[in-house]
Amino acid sequence: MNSWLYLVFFSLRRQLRPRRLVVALILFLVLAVVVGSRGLSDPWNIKSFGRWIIGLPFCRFFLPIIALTLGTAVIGDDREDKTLVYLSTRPISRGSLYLAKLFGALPLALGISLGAVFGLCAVASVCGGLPLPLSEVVWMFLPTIALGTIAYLAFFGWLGAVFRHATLIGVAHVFLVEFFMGQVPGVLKRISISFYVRCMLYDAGSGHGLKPRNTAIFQPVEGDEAAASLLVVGAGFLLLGMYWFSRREYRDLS
Amino acid sequence: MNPVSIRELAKWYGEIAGLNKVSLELRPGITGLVGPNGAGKSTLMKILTGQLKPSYGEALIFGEDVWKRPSARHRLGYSPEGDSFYEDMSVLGFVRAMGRLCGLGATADAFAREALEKTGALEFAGKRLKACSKGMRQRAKLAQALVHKPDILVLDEPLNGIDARGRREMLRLFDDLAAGGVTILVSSHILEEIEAVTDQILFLAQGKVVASGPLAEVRGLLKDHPLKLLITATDPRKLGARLLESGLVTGIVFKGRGGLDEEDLVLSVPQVESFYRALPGLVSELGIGIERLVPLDTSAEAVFGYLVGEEMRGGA
Repeated sequence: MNSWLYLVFFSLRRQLRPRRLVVALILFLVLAVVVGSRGLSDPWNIKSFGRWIIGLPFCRFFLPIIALTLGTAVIGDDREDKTLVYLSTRPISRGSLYLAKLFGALPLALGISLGAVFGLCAVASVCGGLPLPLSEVVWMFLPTIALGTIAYLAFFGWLGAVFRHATLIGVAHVFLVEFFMGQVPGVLKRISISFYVRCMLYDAGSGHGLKPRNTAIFQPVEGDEAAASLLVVGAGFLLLGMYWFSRREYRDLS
Repeated sequence: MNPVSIRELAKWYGEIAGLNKVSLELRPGITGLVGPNGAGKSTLMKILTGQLKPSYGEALIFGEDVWKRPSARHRLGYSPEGDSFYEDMSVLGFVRAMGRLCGLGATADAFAREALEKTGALEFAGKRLKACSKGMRQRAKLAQALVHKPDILVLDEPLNGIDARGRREMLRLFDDLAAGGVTILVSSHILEEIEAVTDQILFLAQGKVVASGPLAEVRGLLKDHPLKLLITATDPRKLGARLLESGLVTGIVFKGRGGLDEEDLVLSVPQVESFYRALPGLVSELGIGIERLVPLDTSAEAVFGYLVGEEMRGGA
């Protein structure tokens, strides 16, 4: 257990690469500038802020990109650096190794996504005069973003364990499935994680008028159902990743 | 129970056999693993360290299947051939981290320092790995394999990039570890290197163990390749004639040394042990002196060349 816990800590430290954090910071700053500049000219309300910032660029672009960067690196970094050999020859089962590495990435992914939501809400409050106290706005979005982060991270972690060039495949997935397919009418969009994230978001903000532009086209599921779906997706891909990693032979370990 | 038991181990990469029903036992001490590229050395080492799953058969560490029971790796240390590291870490930090991953906990620092001292890496323990020379990195790699004091060490080309002095130190370290009861499997493509470490050698070719045991014994197995022995004697012609007559040698070449009547004999000896047993009696009977007796082709390189040739002929 000690060595497993150490591996979680070790993986977390390995994830703290400056380049990765700079990408997150740049994306956040771009969003923050948009939120601030628009807020100064046209004050935000929960409905507009939730739909045009949290629902669109944040949940469908920022969140998957951050999870993609961290998730594919869970196994991908060690494969690329050929250091996986040092981990896979330790007395830790392959499944536990995968779990520890994913858990190592989780605090950072949650820290970045929740921190970014907090930051954007703060900017919207200060520059755009959100009508609710900052803490209330943040708490409104927090469960959605946390569950979305977990589901995305588990998915991209699995992708990294399966494919050698998972980042490219992940980017294609973000744009094709999470971003564009999310616009498609009908049930096809339900294969994207962003659909359930947005359903949760709309449910959380429904008391403030936050809802899809066209409910008939979007066909949202209930908030609880969306939350359960995100949990199932997160747990499912986590287990799938553990299974895959424990069965798979990596001939390019060293 | 032997530390390492490999039973009918086979590994297929599609239709290509990486290993073909290899069975062997390793006992405490040093065993060299020799073979050309593609012989199956890396595959064997990767299966033995739990990185690859056998297609057939099993690799056991103290009776435990190393693929199915990760806990078996507590008793295993592995130094890979590749030169990949967590480059931003210090040498000490790296070895300590690997120790902690083996469950060392709070003692990891002391164990890491001890391993670094053994491998001669303590003096640059604080240096970042990316700033280390090839030799330093090789020592760090060896230290991470040793950090948890395993009973079995699997070392893939451990002397690559280490200077002559360093090699001597490493060889001494291997000897010390083997004397302490550690089972060491060491591979190298430089055959002299293996010879310097051990005379227990496994010859691998085309996924099969083509010979194993002390180098001299393996050499003795080669019926079609008599051992070449050089003898400097006081009366070489008399000795040569008597040896041919006795049937102990199948061929003799006289090799001049420059002076009048100064010749060496190069003998082809099919049965080495019988020859060594009979030689003192013959020499005494003829009343001649032997100044020098040198085997010319017991080197692993020569033996390996013969073995691969034999294997090819056997397979044809």
